[in-house]
Amino acid sequence: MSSDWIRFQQTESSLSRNLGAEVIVTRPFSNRVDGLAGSAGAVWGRLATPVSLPELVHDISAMYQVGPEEIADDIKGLLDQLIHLNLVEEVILAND
Amino acid sequence: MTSLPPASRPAQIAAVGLREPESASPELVPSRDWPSLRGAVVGHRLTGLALEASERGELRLPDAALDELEELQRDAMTHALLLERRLVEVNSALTAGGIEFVVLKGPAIAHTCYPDPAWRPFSDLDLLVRRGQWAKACELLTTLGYRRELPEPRPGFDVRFGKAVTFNSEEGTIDLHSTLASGSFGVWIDPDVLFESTESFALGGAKLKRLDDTVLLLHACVHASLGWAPPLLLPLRDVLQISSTLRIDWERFGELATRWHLDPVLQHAFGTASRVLSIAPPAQAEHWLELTVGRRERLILDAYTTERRARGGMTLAMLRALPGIRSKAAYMRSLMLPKKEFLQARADQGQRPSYLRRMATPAGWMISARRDR
Repeated sequence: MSSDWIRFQQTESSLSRNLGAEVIVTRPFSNRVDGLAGSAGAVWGRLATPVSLPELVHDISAMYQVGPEEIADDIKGLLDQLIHLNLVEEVILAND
Repeated sequence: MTSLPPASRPAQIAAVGLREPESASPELVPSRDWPSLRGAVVGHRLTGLALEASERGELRLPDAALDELEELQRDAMTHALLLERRLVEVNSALTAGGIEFVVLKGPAIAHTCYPDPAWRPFSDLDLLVRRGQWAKACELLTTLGYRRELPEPRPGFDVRFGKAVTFNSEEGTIDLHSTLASGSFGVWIDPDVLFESTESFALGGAKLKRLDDTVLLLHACVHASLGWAPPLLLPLRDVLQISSTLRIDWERFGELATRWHLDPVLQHAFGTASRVLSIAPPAQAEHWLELTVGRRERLILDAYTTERRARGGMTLAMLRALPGIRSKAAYMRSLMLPKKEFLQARADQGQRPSYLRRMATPAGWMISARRDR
């Protein structure tokens, strides 16, 4: 299965606040609060609805006007970290 | 419609997004004015609204002041987020313990009627529980690490006469409510109706209960009018925010207000919110603004909203509202002869642990109340 078909979204249990240039996030039964500044905050905002990794890279590169290849690894790394913290999860869409 | 006077700067901040700004190009706030404005913004919990006003160009702050405001908002939102996290955790424990509860104020308002919850900070959690489950809820909070701020004055006081009890922990403060108001209005409001008037909202993966739109507005009015004297700006904003964004069943709103003797409170809340924030009230609120409030109702409201509040006004109003001589006697006994543990806890808060003083205080209130008539 192509990774294009895998979509990611904020977990239902995640809690966040938008502070303009930064987003702070946590989840119940966790003892940490993380700050997502700059483009990381933009990634978080895009994850409010299901999005594939290529779409995410495309949207963020357009937003910051940089080449997708320049940010793809960073976004993948951030996504892995958010998944590890149970703040983001893979979702299966019914029409996929 | 009469024209509204210009609002003060903190009130302009509290009204952001609800009305047109007073000036299209506001003057820069002088640095020397920032400390007092900061005090008002923090005191009235307006950091989120102040930042929104700044982003809209309706509030122009010097760079250093803006940096400080951003830091204050970050602190306020981190606190709110931690409280929400705790709310979801406490929900798990209370639900597992079979305790039904309703989230009041704070998160229930921030997530349902503001465009962004960051506009609506809160400093604690307010949970309403049924009086029949009061003792169990207190016990459960204690097992979760919460400490009751003050012991019960006498056995049964909480459920019979109380409004809320404060529980503290390192995770924040929870005010456990048995009703929505202190004093006489607490006697008249029927908590069972509150539990029949709920809707759910999602937070942190949990499904929580809040008051439905109509009763949420009723509570916002009660809190704005009776919570503080003079009223805080954010609760006044809540009144206008809820009435302009949620679906209010005005007929039911009026019925409950009459049944619970809240008409003077609504008049005060809508009138004060409209006057202070310089925003026209909802058309349906005109009914309360035009009401003629009787002398007795005015006196009861004054017990909350004037300097009589500090002179035992709410206690005396409660005494008058309590039905039957036995209830009145039990209430006075609780105030004048509380348990030693209660007196000691009050002493730890800086008051002298003296039964004589406890008895002298209500006597003094009564003398001054007679003088006021």
